[in-house]
Amino acid sequence: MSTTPNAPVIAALGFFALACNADELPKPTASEFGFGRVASAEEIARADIDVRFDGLGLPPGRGNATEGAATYGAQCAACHGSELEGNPNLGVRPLISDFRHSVNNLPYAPPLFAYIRRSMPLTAPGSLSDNEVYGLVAFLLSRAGINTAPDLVLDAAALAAVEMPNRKNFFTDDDPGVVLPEPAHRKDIGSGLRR
Amino acid sequence: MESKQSSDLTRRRFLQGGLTAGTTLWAVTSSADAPDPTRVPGRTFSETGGYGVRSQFADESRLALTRNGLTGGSLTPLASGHGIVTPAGLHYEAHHNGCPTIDPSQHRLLVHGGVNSPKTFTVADLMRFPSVTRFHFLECAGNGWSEWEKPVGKDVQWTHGLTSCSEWTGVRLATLLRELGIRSDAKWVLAEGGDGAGLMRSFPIEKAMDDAILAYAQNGEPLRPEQGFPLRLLVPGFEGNMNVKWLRRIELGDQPWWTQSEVAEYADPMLGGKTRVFSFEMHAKSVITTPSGGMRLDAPGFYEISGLAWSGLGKVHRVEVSTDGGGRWQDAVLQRPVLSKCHTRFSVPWKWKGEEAVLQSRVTDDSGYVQPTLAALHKVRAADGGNHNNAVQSWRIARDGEVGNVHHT
Repeated sequence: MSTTPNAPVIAALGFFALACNADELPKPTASEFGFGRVASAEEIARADIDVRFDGLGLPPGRGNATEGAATYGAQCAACHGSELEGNPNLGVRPLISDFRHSVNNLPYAPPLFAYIRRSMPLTAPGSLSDNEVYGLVAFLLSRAGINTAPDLVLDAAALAAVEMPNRKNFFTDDDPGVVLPEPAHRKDIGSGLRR
Repeated sequence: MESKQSSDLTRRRFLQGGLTAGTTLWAVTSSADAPDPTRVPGRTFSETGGYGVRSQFADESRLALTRNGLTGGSLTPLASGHGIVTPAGLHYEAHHNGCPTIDPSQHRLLVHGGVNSPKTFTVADLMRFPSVTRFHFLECAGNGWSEWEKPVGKDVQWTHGLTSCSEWTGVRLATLLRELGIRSDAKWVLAEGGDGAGLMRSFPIEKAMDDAILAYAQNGEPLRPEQGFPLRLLVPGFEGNMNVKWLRRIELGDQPWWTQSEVAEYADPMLGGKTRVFSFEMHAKSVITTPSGGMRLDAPGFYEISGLAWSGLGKVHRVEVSTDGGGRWQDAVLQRPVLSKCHTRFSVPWKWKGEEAVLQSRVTDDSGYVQPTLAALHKVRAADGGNHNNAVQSWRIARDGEVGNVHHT
């Protein structure tokens, strides 16, 4: 479909410009195909379940560590262990540990809310209420020694304000001052591996 | 497996050496249960039910690595592959909560956030847009994870089987976004899967406008469920999980999301307790698939060394092969086509003299990047690494012809 002889014909239809080189992707223009259906605000709100690092997307609701402990025992402990110790037989790591993926080592807390809400428990993902998830996150942060008052209520504002101690150890290639120790992709920085 | 690969290799030699020996081998294979095919009618047309199945004598299979059956992956048997395309049924899998069953007539893609006109699309809607077809590899970020500290995998399926290559067809993400109108504050793209895990990854909008594809077809037919039926994102060259399967939602925003997947299992541990996030591209990598671990060279003589090379940055420019553990290198022949962000087959002829040898391959891509040694990676990455392990692989050939996985620097 990207052969040269056809290009003038299709372009004459006014839809889009086809690439003449087989190695190049066609370059779409700002044309109106009109396919699809306009999404309503309600539809978007229902589907928009992500939560960004800064808390954008956190829903209303609240929970504390005491409530979260009860939810944990009922919904999580079977796989993650009653003491959050994990289960090697199931390939489940400890939730609080030196392991890099553990809750205590996360750079931001709000995305944890989104992850638990949409992906957990494995056998019934998406079945926990927003209040239950707030409670679970409060419980996990409490056990991680980050937010330790058991009756401290976690809601959208409080969760967004949590400062994770390991944040400082995370970096992206685009951070100011970062000199990558290996070949870069978005930054073309030389290294010993390049010749 | 060892004996099967051994006989594969033997068969290759026979076929190269002379037709008589090869015919003998095939006759042994086909005469075990079946009658002489020249003396009886064959199968009727209807026996395949309208969709062909592979020969009953072909038994290559994926190797699943999972403790709970729902999370984990399965690896492609690279040693028995030919050319550059992976059969869809052997494409590696990585699932975060099993493989979902999705009725395509019920599936929707919502595109919203930093667009002027948020819309939902059916798969049929997406098929009406101008389509593109591209060959691209997909490689799990964790391919080679087990080989980080010591050689673990007995064969190339284990050490490198989390890469596969297909022809993908779909609509460019750029086509769709331009259609909806991109707001000036849209800098990052979030993609979300429609399975139980609901995997979310975000990436810069430049990638969306460059070569990202919303794919609905794989090797000329609908995507396999394990590869995201009925719709997946394809971000060529980026680590496998970012090519979100069962794609149901795309949102544009002004910053990265830092989702759980981005900061935990798909982040890279570096030295000094640091963690690098958003390391998207799979860097250039190559591996010899024949001869490779678990095989056995029956006798000194001619062997074709063959393997695969690829780069998430572009095309394979050059592959070198060493048979003495990296002392001397010779250029391999690159089999055409050589495509961007795609498996490339390479080969070199070799006469094994019956002595111990260490086979290595090293790729250079068209950005000038050279595949590193494991020692070089160890200088910058932490010991609990394993993601983005694109180190040179070594296969040791013992005097008795056994091929084993070794670390050799």
